[in-house]
Amino acid sequence: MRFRRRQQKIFAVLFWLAVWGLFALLVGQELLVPQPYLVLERLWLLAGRSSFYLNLLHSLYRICLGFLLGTVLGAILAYLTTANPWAGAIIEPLMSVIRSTPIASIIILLLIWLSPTGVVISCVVLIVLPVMWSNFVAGINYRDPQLEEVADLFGFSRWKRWRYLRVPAILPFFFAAVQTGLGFAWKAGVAAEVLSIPRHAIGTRLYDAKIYLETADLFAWTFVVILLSIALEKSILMTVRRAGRYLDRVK
Amino acid sequence: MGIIIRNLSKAYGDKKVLCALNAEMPDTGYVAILGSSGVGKTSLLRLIAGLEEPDEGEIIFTYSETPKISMVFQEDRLFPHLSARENVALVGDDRANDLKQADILLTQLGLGDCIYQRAAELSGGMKRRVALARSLLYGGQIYLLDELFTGLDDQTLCQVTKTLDPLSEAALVIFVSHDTRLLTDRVKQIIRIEPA
Repeated sequence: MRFRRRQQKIFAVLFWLAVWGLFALLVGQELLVPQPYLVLERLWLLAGRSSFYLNLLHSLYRICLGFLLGTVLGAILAYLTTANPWAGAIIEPLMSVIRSTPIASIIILLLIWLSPTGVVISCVVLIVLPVMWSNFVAGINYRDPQLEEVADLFGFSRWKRWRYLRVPAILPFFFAAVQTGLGFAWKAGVAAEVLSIPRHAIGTRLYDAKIYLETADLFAWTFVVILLSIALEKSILMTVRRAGRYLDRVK
Repeated sequence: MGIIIRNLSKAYGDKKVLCALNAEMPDTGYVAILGSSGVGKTSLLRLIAGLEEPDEGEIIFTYSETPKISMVFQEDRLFPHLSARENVALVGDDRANDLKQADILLTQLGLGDCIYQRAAELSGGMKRRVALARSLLYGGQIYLLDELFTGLDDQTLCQVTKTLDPLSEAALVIFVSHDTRLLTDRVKQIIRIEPA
């Protein structure tokens, strides 16, 4: 079954690469749509330079830090929202405003106030925060009435209720939030880098590619962003699952 | 005497399930609650467990202290992501010791081979026994068993009653069942609930 799914995934990747290649062939201009092999060739070349990893690590640091801060802040605000109706009444409109504010407005406003790195981190925090907050609120509010009764009857402590009822209820919402939030974080983070142009950043290299009409570079860096986003998502989800299994063992 | 039930009534919206029920139960031994579907057998257990409040009437526990009540719900209500032994040990306070106890209880109930299996992967009959083991580990003066014996084959039923019989000498075991195999001389009292 697993082997078949892997085969399907490989097939899907090859299929879309073929579509891309065919499209590039139809357009016939490398400047507009480069062939996949040219992008890979460019990527290989870029990967041979130390600056590639410097750009990559700096972007990774900013986006990870922003994502982490957004997640922690989202969890704290969600707890306050569910714990106190007054806090909820104050936080909810704030989240609506953050959610509906255009990302470009946020970046331009932040550019006036902060350093390029600060702009990127703050921008990612603001993008991730409402996603995390709403999912944490939904997870905390979710109740399985049958298991709640089990906890009541067998006199579960507060810790046990959190560990065995709340956390398993929150986790599916958290996983969904990580998948959505990480995608948003990379999109917003790279966009913020393009506009704020930090010294070492994937976004800055994308900006350079635009200035010098290096379409192959643009595709190569975009490919790197996609790979990083997927790798980060998988590693976060794996870490959380492992942490859950570890907790099951120790308590 | 263990439990005295006086004029107990319960309704859910317009549907009356218990109407002025009176009964007395001993403080030890088996008590069977019988009646057709929807007459309020489960409601009675839930009222005794304190999970619901009666509309009228009262339940008096004639114990020196408030009795500890353990229950096997009609639905198994296990934590699906936890193993059988973890589900059982969850109701205790001493993790290491509770896990050992859980293993012993599960083995007694014929589940020695699947103590590490996740609850979600167990069959219906296995889940019933895990729920019973959980209830036994929690302990108490009163055990409420809602449809515990439904669907158990003769051999499993024998394993279950073998575990419960010594317990019934020191505690009150109230069970709801449609299974007449249990209505032997071991049952001290039968309470029939008529439709309200």
